[in-house]
Amino acid sequence: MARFIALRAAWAIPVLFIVTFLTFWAVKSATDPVQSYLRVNTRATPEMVEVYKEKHGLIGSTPEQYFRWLGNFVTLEWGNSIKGNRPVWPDLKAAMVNSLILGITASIVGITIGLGIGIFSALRQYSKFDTAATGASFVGISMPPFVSAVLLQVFFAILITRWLGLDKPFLPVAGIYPPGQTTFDLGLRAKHMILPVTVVAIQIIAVYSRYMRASLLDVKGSDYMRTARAKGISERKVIMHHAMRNAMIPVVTVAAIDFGAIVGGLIITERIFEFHGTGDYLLTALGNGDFPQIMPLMFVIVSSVIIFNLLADVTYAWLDPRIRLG
Amino acid sequence: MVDILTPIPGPADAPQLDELEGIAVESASPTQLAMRRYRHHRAAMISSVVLLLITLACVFAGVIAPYGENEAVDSADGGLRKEILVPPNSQFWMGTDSIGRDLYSRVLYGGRVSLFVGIASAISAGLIGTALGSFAGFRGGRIDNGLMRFTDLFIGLPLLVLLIIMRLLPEKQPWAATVLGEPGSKRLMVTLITLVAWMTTARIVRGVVLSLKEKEFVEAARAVGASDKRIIMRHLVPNTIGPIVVSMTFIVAAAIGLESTLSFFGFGLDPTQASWGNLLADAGTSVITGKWWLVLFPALVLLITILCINFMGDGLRDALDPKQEPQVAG
Repeated sequence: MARFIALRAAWAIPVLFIVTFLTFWAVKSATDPVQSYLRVNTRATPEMVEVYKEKHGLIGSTPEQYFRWLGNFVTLEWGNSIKGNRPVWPDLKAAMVNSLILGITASIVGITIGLGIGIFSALRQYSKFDTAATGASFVGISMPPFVSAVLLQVFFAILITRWLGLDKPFLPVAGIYPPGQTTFDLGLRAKHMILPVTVVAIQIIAVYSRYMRASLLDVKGSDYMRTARAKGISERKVIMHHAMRNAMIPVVTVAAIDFGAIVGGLIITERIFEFHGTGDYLLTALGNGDFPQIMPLMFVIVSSVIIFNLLADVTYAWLDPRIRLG
Repeated sequence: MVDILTPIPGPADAPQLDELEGIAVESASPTQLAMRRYRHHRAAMISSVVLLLITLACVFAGVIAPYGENEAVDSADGGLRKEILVPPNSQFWMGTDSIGRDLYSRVLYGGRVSLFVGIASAISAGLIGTALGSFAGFRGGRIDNGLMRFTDLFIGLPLLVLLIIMRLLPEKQPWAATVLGEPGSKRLMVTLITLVAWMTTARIVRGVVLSLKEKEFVEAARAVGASDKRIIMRHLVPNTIGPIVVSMTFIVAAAIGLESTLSFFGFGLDPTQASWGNLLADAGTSVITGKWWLVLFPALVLLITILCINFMGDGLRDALDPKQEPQVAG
């Protein structure tokens, strides 16, 4: 097992370098930091541009620039944004904290409900519950997150409010707190999170319930389940020890694949609900062509993807001995 | 789902072969069997009809739509005023927008663009995925391993972020505008979506080719001296056509979703072009002001279209490929 992990981790390191280099090149080409600098500082002299380039390591070939940037990144010298000349780290930290709160809450809610629905559907295949859940998950998969977000906004901000005759929206549809609120308030915060969490969780529930159902159905028909029952083990134990452990194997890979989708969903959701997280941060920074703000976040996202892939590989091998020994 | 081995009663005009009673089984080609299985998938059949209606309405928008794509409707009481922000009624089925354009007409015209982008992306992504997948599966070994690791990594990336960054490239780099397409053009949209949508097809084709290449008919082809290219093109790919069509159907749905998402955030098609994403983007702030119809109708049409395509994909998979494991779209 240790050998397996070491091999996979050794493979992940060059991949990390290659992928982050490509990201660096793409983001730099797509934002053009010098152009953005000139757009913000319209009266910058050519000397000032040279000083700016020098200070931010924007001279030399792209690989040179990349390694200089990487050095600054590792030593936590993240520089200042182009627009507003603000230090990058405090803004990015605040955005990441908000995104993590939203992402983790939605993941816990989504994965729990998704796996629960999947298991229940598989154990009662073709029941009314199964039919309804399968249909609903199909709708969930088909719905781009921005559509569910705007539909929820329409229902909660306009239609329900109108039907109930309220003068304020039934549920808040924008922001983290009501305007003017500056202190921490758990109740208000939770209320503002209901709709964003729902949007992200719908995506997660739909994917996980489908995979869980398919995987458990596949396992349910296998011979070792019959053998376990024939040995006289209780049904509960058969399901928990024999079926679940094997059924989880394919579901684990979904965790890695779905990570990118969740990041995408978070970006969309945060933008629509004005939930000030990394999504809002990223889209604003991209709009301003603010390279120093974008690149650290991209590095974090890309390395998380690679780490998730690695974790999924290792978990997969831990659950299924054939992979690490084969 | 109907098993292949069970004889299925055919249409009344089919040749009757029951002279040898009890032995004769009416023959049916694999295509006929697949068609029958598809017809038994109720959700897929309903979806096909609905999608056909939506597609026809969009294609013939010029005839069906009561108003033009960008026509601001003059107020009925004369004068220079326009019919601005009218809620849905018998004249404007889906209401009108902030400059007096009929939303129903715009939804139809927008559908042309959205459906075109979806189908074009699916065709090109399907071709790329098939090429890569069959190559990896046929060669096997290190090439296969490397290509599939690359594919897996690609699947894990946040594709939306990737798309937005690539969408900005042509605005800054002239070479990208030449290679990928002009900013806001349909060509750029199709190219970008193709670049992030080929993976599922590649994985599926690779899996099928990997198992097929050990079969006797491939060995036979090799024995008579067929080249690798011929074996892939004439023997392997035609046998994977079912899974390819199924995965391309799911790509159409995913591509329509991606196009509308990108347009919604202003990273998609030119905003003057009506598309379902752009209609929703126009409606953006109207939620706060209570103009619910501007959001509700385009969103529902978009959702219904994607849902129908996914149901059709599901039905096609059951029909063409009864043994394959379920896959998840998008």
